Amino acid sequence: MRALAAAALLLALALASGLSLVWAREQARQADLGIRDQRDRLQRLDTEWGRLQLERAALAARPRVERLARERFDMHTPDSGEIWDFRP
Amino acid sequence: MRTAWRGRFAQFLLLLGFLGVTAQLVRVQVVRAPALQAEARSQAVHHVRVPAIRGAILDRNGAPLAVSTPVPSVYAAPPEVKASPAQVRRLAKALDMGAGDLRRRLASSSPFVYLKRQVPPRLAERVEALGLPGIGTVREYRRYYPAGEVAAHVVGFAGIDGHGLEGVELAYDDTLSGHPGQRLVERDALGRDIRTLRITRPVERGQPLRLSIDGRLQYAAYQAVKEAVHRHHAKSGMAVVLDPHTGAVLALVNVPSYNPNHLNGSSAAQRRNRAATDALEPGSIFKPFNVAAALEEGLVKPGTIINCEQGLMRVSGHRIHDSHRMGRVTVRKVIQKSSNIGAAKIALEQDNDELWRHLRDFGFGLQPGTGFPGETRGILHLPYQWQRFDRATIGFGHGIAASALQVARAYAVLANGGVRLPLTLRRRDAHDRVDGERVLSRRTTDQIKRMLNMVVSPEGTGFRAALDGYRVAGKTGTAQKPGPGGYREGKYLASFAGFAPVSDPSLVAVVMLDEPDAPYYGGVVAAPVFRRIMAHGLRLRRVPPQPGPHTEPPPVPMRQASGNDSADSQGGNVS
Repeated sequence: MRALAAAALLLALALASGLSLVWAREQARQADLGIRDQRDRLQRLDTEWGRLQLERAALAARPRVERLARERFDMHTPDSGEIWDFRP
Repeated sequence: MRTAWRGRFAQFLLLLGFLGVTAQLVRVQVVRAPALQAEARSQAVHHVRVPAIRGAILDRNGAPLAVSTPVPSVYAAPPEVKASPAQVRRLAKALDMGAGDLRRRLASSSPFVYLKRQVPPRLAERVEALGLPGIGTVREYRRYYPAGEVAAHVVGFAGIDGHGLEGVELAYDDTLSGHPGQRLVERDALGRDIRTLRITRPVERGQPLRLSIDGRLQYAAYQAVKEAVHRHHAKSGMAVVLDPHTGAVLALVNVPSYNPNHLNGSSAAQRRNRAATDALEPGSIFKPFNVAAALEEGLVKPGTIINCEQGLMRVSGHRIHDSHRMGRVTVRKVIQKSSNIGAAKIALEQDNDELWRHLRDFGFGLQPGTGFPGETRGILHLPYQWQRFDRATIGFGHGIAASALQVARAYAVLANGGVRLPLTLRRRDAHDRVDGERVLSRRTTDQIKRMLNMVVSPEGTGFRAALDGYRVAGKTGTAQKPGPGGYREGKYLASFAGFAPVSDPSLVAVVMLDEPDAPYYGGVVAAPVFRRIMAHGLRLRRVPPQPGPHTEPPPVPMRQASGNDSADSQGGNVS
């Protein structure tokens, strides 16, 4: 009777251990999926950051800024007679 | 009895069956286990290389000059590819390549081939939608150069594998490229990643690099040189702008240039950074260093009288000409009018070794120290090789060779009060100490500065470099170019080098135009370019112009609409 009880206990423990292994694997998988999601997100953000930097560079390109300043805002490069220094 | 026999027989069969199963179990699990496990691992577990993103290159204000961004590349693992001829045709169409070419690549025996690298994301999606086994996409980084041709020679470019091939991309490749990582992943039968087992090597992203270049000044200098090359039909042109107090290279321009985003169609000649790699005979812009050496040794004074022989002199049987005939004039006038004979006589006054040492101190025959690949040290022969005529010609900048970068550095010595600094392409912070070396006394430097200021006066050869509101110092150069069998008729290097403002120089600039059409004088073709670059640069650096006698008083400042402080209303009362 005692032996039977011990065997049952061991069986239960073995089962629990097996189930916990399955559970742990599942957790690892989930965590790995999470990492992969974050890595994909990092890549998307890298791509977007690169795109935004290029966009900024295109918008701030010297020829474009010069053209806008001259044409849209009617600005010109000041001659030395037009520059005054107000610094104390 | 019969039933008992049957039972026994069944028992025996079962036992045999179990024994067989057990034997196989032992064979697989124990005997062949190591081999089978290795096989399973090699099928399911893969090392995956994780590329490192390349660091950006920024100008001194943080504007991007080179940026990397992830793009997909399509690859195939030929042994795993299973595709029908129709599928291959569809794939070829998606990739926009010939079906025959594609089949050849798929027939390759290597485990990994790129089918098409750095493709648009849409194309990669179309390929993935086909869902062919053994065909996939990986992430790579593509390099973009927003400044394009304007800064092409400084920035250089990187190859498709992300390693620098030219310019700063090559010089600072270690900093920029970082280190790729490695992951151990488990894959299913279809080659999809199941999970990452471990990261064998973490990715180290490349470090961004901040250059000393000012993108705005670079653009202004490029435009100025490009227009001048076009107007005077010059073969090429270059400009270097320095900060004399830090040795920072603020702009470095070569024309013709190329677009680093589309390398095809640009020649090696276009890609050469001539301002750093080509040693040229500088001609008259070299004279101030000869004169500075003589002044420093006390052999002449600014007022010493030199006989310029009415424009023709013979040294060791060779003739030396002046384009502007003069008689007995001061050393100041020799510089102001750029007399070859005067400069030759001053050089002949000096000792070979002393003159050589002083020229070396100005950085001739030494690398400027930017670390730029292929940076030349020019040619400065050893003094025992100098004959009398050699010394005379070195006096006016022939028989030696220097790059535009070296000439700029030598002028920076004059602008920096006689202290020579190593040049740099990296932005230095205010607290970075730069170890300079005093090579010229302050007194000599001041004397030379005054002479160079006279060059830009209405009587000097460089009057076209004069700027309203600033005192400019500089020197013109018109050097006949050497060719096989002597100097070539009509082929000149027109140049202008100088700095401003004289009292506390903020910028040093050198402009050279190679083989312009007549009039080919440095004072005519190069000085206006210098003037334009300086005007722009001094404004960018907020050096205020000195009001001249004709300057109008400042206009009444515009009032802010929201201004309601007392000072403002008081101002209103006074007027």
